[in-house]
Amino acid sequence: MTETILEVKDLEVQYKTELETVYAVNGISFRLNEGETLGIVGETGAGKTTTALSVLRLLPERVSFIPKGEIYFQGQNLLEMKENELRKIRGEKIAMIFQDPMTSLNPVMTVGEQILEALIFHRAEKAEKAELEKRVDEVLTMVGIAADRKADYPHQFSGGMKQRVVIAMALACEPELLIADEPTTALDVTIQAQVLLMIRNLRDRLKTAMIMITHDLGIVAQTCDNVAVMYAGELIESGTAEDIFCAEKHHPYTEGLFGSIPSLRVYTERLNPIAGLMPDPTERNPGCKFAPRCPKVMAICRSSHPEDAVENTHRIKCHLYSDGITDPRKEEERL
Amino acid sequence: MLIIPITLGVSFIVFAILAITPGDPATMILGIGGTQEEIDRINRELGYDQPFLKRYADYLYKAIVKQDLGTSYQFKTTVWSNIRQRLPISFKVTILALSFASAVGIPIGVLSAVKQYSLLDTIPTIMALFLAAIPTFWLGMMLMLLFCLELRWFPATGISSWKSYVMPTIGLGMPYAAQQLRFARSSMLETIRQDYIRTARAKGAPENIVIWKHALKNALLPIITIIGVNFSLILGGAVATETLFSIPGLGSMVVTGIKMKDIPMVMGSIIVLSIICSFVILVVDLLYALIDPRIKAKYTKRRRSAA
Repeated sequence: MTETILEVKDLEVQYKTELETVYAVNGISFRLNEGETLGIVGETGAGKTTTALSVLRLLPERVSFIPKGEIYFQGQNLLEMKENELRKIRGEKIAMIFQDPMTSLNPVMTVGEQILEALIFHRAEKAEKAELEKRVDEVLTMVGIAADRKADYPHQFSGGMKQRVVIAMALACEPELLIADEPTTALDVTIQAQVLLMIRNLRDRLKTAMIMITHDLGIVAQTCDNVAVMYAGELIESGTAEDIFCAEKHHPYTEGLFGSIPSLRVYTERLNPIAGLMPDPTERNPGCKFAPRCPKVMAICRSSHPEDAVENTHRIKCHLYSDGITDPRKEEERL
Repeated sequence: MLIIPITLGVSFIVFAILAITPGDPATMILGIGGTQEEIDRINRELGYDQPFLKRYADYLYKAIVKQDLGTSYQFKTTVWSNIRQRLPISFKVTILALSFASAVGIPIGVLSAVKQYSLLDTIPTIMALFLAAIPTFWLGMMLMLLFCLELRWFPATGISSWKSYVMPTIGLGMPYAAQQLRFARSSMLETIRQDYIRTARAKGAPENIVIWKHALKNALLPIITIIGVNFSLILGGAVATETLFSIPGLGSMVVTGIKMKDIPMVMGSIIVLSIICSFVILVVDLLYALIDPRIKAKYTKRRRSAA
């Protein structure tokens, strides 16, 4: 059994303004082992990015609050850490690739400077500047950008190239955990494939643990060992990739997600979306968050919040499985 | 290279306004006691019997070809010698006041943006509001009363030593400090919400590097613009302060010139001022390119395609 690198326990995040409180993340727990990849999937607004940002403690100040929960990184609780201790972890041990490469690079600094900076913050005492410069060339080459382009500014790069720079920046210090927040959403399909392939190769080479946040189930299938499905700030289903992609039983939401992917073999006139919208995150209802949209909704779903049903690695938060995620055969026997 | 058309345009407008407004130079030169013949004679000597456009053309010819801005009616000395005497003083006061305004306004503005909604934000913002609302002459007078007359730390008038520049610098700089504070604050507030600031933090950047290196450089463009505009404003427009502290600057000279219908004096000063302002704008543009590589790229590309 490998070591756990990151463990999130019962995390809650709220955004508070004078007018309302947004319950963005409502008690999620997951753990990630060294060298493994966890995929977090879910709709826009499900709280994926909020979760990622709270791991790095980069949530916007003053409006965001973490009323409950613990985040352990290598045994240390990140939520109790002081700012200067956190700084040593950010970039050095946990690095993040952001959603939009167009805006996540500083327009007035050369890309070389920006990568070098990450190294200076964490390596300046141990290494000479020339060495660090060499490392900048190295990581740029690693992501497929000629090292002599480090004197260029972000506006001189295309979108895919910028995302490569962002990745180079994140990998410069060889972090132990890489959080990729929809790294390919802002890119077009061909570039997406390139960038993903690169992230995967680099991860395998550097043995980095990774959290891949996406709403693309294809990406998850290709990259992840474990998958967590998020809905309205909760993890409604989680397990190994096999659990999610191959098992018989699923949360109705996950079924809906898979049902919305058009099949190549079956003729479909229209796509099959999940009807309805996500519940208003400013409201808290006692029942299941998915109940209003659920095709298998029962009376109990509206009144009581479901508990996790567990079978080995597979967890489903749904009343359908309150007797356990049993095998279909066993169910037949009981009948 | 818009300096030439701008200067020509300014000179024409000013010349026209001076010609349209009532009163003629001869009456001013002679005083109320002058007889009609004398007035007519002087007007003829100065060329005021000629039509307006002819006068303007003559003025331009003299100014451009002979580099002669004419002779002041009030002082009977050349306009250029007057300007040369006063321009350095105005320049010094302007630069001092602006440096003061920037040195006070920008750091406090940045700080209050970073500490938004805290006391460090509200107090400077309210102060800035007050300072922006207070008329310069009143502030100058109060400063003068307190520091020059009560405490006797600085001389009240004149420009005898470095000490005499302290009060005008503060009096003149204060409202601009307030203005630059507000600009720096709003510009910083916008910048620190950008994604790349979060990226910098995610790299593990210490807060002061995030603010003073990543954010400020991006927030600087609007601040520099306003400094450039303020430069032109103070250089020619510090009349109240100049009068109050008896500083022989350009602003007060232009105003007396207008009152006295000293047309060559006014024209000369304004042309010189407009040239300087154009240069300041040019410098600001060059600074833009220095700070923001995207603007630089735009210019170099244009040059390349033109060649």
